[in-house]
Amino acid sequence: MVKYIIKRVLLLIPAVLLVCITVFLLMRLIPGSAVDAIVYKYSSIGVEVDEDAVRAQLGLDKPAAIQFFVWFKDVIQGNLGDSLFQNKSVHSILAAELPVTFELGIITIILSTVISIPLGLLCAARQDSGLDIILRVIAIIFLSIPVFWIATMVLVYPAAWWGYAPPADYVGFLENPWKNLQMFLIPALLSALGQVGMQMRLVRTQTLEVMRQDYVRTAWSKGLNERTVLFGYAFRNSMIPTITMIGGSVSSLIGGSVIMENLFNIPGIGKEVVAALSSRDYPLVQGCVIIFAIYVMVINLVVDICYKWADPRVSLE
Amino acid sequence: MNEPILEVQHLKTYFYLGTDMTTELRAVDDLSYTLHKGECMAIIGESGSGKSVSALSILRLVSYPPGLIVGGKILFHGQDLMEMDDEEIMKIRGSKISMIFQEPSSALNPVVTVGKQIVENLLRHTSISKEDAWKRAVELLDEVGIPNPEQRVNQYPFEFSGGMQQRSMIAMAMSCNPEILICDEPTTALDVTVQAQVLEQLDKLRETHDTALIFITHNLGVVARYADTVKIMYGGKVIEDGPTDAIFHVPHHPYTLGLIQAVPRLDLPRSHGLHTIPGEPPDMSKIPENCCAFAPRCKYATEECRTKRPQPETVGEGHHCSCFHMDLLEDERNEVVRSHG
Repeated sequence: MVKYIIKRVLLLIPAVLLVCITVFLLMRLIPGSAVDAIVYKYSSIGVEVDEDAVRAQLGLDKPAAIQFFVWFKDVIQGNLGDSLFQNKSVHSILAAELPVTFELGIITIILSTVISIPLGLLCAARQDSGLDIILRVIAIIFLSIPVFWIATMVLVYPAAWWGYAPPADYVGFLENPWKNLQMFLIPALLSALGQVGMQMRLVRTQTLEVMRQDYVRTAWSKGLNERTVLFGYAFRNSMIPTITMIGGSVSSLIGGSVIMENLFNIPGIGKEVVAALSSRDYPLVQGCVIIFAIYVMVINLVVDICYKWADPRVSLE
Repeated sequence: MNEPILEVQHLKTYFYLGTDMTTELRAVDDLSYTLHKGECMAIIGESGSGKSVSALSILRLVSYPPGLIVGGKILFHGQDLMEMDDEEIMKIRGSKISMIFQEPSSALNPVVTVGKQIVENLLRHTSISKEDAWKRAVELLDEVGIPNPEQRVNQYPFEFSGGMQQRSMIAMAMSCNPEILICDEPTTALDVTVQAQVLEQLDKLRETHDTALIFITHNLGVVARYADTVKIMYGGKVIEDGPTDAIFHVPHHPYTLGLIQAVPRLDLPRSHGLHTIPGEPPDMSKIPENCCAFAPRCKYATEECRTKRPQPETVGEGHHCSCFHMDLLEDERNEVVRSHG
């Protein structure tokens, strides 16, 4: 087990190297550079700036290969550089904004898991009952509603009818948990809806599949009650696909937060990266992508370890 | 014989198939028998003859849809299992009446240790402490001949061989000393040598605990060796039943005779070939109400067999057979029985 984890962590190194090269190249390949962005920004307020001077100042006058190695040397020393447009290091931006995104994502995942697993089990236990049909229809509706649309509706109508809007100024959880949660709960619930639809259906299908297995018949023949059969047998055995799915939503947590962060004005990293991309803030985008990549790979490792825990037949060698 | 513990009376389990559930399949059609304490009763039949369903019906384990017990009584010590509510039948399952199944590898929960699956049964039906239940689990595994039970108890089913899995199934089923153990083809998925071990194990348990066995199988050798009484099922009905000796020495039904002839013989030259019963097992949903289900495959069948259902007739002590033409069978029977010794 420990050996396996060490092996997987070592495999992170080449993967991160590849990510560094790819993101660096991709950033230079997008039409329009940081220099253009800066020149445009100043000319729009009537200030003429010397393009070459800006380029030299940003270190973008050197050949791309040199730029890469200069940046990469810093990266392996743990320094992700400074933002081109904000007077901050990439580190400090990440440190301030990643936790915000994580909070949103974790609340979303907790909500969707806590709602979808019991409902999926309930549907499976009462297959084809009225309740099952109603819940499945609701799941389909949740799945089909575009999240940006429902979020817009949720922002617009309460505001029009009751003059209510969720707080738009970010307050840290530790400072004022109630106000903080007020800001996060609605966007988290909205992004959880789509996941609830999907996860509920998956849990239902998987549980039904397991309920047909011989060992479930054995469980009934032992006189175990429905609760034990459902949780000890059906749910325990349908865990692997459920873990895969939850792992998937954990790793896509950052990307998925962009819409909600923008709509609800939450100062998270998703919103930051999109802004950095359009202003061509090379170090910021590159730094964020490296962190995201490591995050996704670590989550995948955690998921694999969870498999072992969920199913003793899984071998991690 | 001992006192009767289980009386099945006119049991009917039907399946409803098709999209609108209009196709009726009479998997078990009017099955009656009495099981005594310590008796080993074998139910024999081809795949789909209703033998497994009849066993699952006893514990009401046939799930609806598609299966439904539409009639009959199952009296356990005079108490009708059909009339019980869910909680009452759950208390019978696994404690008074247990079951073991065909495929031990799929009949055990793959993600739970063997020990926990035994302990689970003990805790459900007895009032012993968790600690004692684990000790008991080790003893039970030891009793069914699993080596190193202290270690094995903490292992998962996939770490066991097929024979060991089936033996732990037996340990689990026997954990609460049931009065009846239903064995649904317990040796079908096992190697021949392992089969023998498992059968010996069951026989030993029957002797030591006086458990009655209902043995569902299509292996006639097993039946001849272990069973006291035999029921031959065809098309959802018992077509012949009686003491094992009588069934093997004076079979009265052409199907029973066919089954006995179909047992491979090691003492005959290879050129002799294997005897088969012509035709195929019937499509259970297409058997007409008023006919002998075996008629299409029977060389003695007449118009009568196709228009009337034969009723069981007593042909010997506790020996019954449902056939219109038992008398025509005599010559063939004498020849077969003579050659089989």
